[in-house]
Amino acid sequence: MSYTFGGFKRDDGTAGTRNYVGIVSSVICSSAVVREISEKVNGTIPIVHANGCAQLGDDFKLTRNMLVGMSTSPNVHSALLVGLGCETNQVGGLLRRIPKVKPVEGIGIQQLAGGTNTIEKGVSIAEKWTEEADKQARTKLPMSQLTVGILNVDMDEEAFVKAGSAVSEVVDKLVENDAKVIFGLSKTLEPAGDELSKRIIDPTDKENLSESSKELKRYHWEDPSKNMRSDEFSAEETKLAALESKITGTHPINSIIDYGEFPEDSGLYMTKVSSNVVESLSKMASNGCNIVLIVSNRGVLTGSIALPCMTLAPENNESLFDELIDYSIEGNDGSDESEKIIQEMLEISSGKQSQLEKLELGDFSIPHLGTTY
Amino acid sequence: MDEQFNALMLDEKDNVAVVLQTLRAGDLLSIQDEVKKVEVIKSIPYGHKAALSPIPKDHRIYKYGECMGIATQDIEEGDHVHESNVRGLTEEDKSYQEEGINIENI
Amino acid sequence: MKTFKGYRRANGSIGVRNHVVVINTAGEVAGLTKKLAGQVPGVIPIVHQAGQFQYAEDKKQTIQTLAGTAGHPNVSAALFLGMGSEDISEEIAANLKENGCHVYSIIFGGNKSISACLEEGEIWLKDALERSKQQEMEEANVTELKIGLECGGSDAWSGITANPSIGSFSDSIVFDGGTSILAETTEAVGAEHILANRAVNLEVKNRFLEIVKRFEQRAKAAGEDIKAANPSPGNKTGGLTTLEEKSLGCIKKGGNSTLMEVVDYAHSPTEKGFVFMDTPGYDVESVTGLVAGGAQIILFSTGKGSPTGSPIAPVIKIGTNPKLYKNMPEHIDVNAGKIIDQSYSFKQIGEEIYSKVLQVADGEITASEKYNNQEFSIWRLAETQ
Repeated sequence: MSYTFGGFKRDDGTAGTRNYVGIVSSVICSSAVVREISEKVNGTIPIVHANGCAQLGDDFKLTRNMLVGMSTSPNVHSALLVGLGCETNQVGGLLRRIPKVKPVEGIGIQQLAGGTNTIEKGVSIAEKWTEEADKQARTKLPMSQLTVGILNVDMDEEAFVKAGSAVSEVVDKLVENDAKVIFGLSKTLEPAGDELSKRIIDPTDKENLSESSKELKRYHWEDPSKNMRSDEFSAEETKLAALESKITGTHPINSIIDYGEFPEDSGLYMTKVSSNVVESLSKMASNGCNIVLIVSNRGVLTGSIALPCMTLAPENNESLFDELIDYSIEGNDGSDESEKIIQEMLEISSGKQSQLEKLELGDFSIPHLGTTY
Repeated sequence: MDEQFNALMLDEKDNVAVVLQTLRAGDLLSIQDEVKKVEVIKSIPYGHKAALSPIPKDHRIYKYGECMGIATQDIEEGDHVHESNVRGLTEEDKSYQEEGINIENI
Repeated sequence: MKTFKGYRRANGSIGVRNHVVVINTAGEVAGLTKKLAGQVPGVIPIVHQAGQFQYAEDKKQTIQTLAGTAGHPNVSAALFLGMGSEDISEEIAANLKENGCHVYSIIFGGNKSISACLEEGEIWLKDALERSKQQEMEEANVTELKIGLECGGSDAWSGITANPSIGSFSDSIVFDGGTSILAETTEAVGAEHILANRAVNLEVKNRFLEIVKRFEQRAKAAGEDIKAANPSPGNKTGGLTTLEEKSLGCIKKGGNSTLMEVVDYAHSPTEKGFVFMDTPGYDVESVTGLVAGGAQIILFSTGKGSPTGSPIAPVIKIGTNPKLYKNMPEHIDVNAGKIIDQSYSFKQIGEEIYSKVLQVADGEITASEKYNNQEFSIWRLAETQ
């Protein structure tokens, strides 16, 4: 059978599961203005964060790349960048890097002589764009138009046993139907790195992942070059990682993608994620995902500002976060379950609100790679 | 304010003043509470510094009442004080400067 | 004797505002924190992504900052929202409670549902708001004020007009027995000897030199040579000749008073007078640290026009040039540009700043408060685990 969903076609060939006008702040200093514009215009999302100035090197590039990725997201119909003017992360630099496939404009508080003018100008641009976005109808699209993020949060052995085969089948079906799947590569998955690396196509990523499975590496912040601590993985960690790696399905993994990087072809990818759920979901949003499946024993208390996040949890756990769970996995018949999960995912992709969306729990954050100055 | 001044001295110990508007050679520096008017001998852009008195080579430049650099050549009164005739302090300059200062209230 | 009217807290401190805040201690709960604040008008949300999965040094800094913010004299009551069994909020709340602060913590993932937690939070916050309204103001002396000194969006005039005026104010309030806290260690690199020589004793002097050195090394490890990069070509065009001169333009916000103490990020000074806090040059993170260290009011000089504020402390913006004041009056509280076009002296502007500080302490709203500029960001030292 062929899987379809109703989405918003974009000029670059991608498709949105949502049709937001993104109001993107280049630096924390313009976040209040961004929030105000967003509050005044329905259909917009405020993409605010704590970064954008006094950053150096890779830490700065990460901020820039994530914001370029967010503005390029298929769920973003158009992007209005709002800056201050004197920040490191210049709006001009962002504009140069965002592909010109959708309406994108930049404004700045200093250039417009104050917040009031900036809000006024921002509201008028956002109103024009939301009007256009409202006119755009969902069209029937193949599942290959989906880029699905998969994030594991707080799963234990029992939970993996119960949910593993269903999720694994979902991943395989997505890949077989030419969708893109981006699997969150967390620290907990590292002990299984050697096994996983056998499926990785990119030679550098293959080597790095294999290397990561040898020991637990922790960097000390004062001087990373000298204070690296290495520990053996515990038997428990290794066992959990093996279970977690099973839910990545059976197909080859193309590569490990970076902040703001979009996968080029269909198939399976990985992206490194931290234990911070907001940062991880934000990274996936900047990787071009248009929906995320959160696989969690408890349900998580936050979604992404730009993506619907569908929560899958093993049934009959003792979680008190029932309100957050979109689908409970019974864990008996893998194939039947995966089919139901995919149908629910397609419905959410077509506009049905996920539990996290109903609770209006969407957030965004940019991680730091180092200190600020 | 009764009189318009075109330069600012940040501390009474200073031998330079910051000009508040771009001055051309021949213009007179006027500073609040200073009777003496210094004639500017080179064009000085606003925000830059003018010498209030002759500063011999190797002598200190004072702004904010602190040493902000050393003259690398003789600087004439009214001259533009900038990179061409001033350098920053070396570690040696700093330690020399420190010796002269008493740590009080120990 | 200069006085103001403020809110006396149980621990003896005095606030110039009477805020009720809700703060998350786990990144995952930031969304719920904003949601809960939205349900109780008048409550200020303070959100961030720190608290969990951080290296020890960062975790310590996070706890220090959150405790300093919740226990701040400008805060009447604070509710923490946390998550999970290892959450830090209960520990912070317990310590603050011992100090007489009105705080409470709710942990998601315990034995209550999400809606039950939100309802509990709503009830607590509504009650806290009611109680805050009953608090009466009392007269206090400026000796009880701690004023944080900051600059952001600087221009060629910052070091000539606004910063020396702030310095003049700083010397006055220190003379009157109050406290001013200079910050931004970045700006001291290369000219540390100047402030070090104003230290009250050798211990303070060495402590200051130590934090500057640490900062410089941390920057070097990340590939930035602060000494080599300053003054920047733009600074030179603006008239700055040497690193010492650039640094002086910034550190002169601290006037000429004796340096009494050096404190770590977000730590409260124990001495009165002129104090230095170790913070980054990133203005929002620096202000967050100054406020967490107990500064009730922040003076913030800006040349290009920065609207940022703080969730709990009034930030007074000092504009450095007449053009800025003409173009962006909505973001400027004191126009130090009058030094350029109206022949004011920086001593006169310093006096104007002092009057403004007292008015703001008495309740006058600043530009950043008017426009809800409540930026908050904790100085992060390393990446998330």
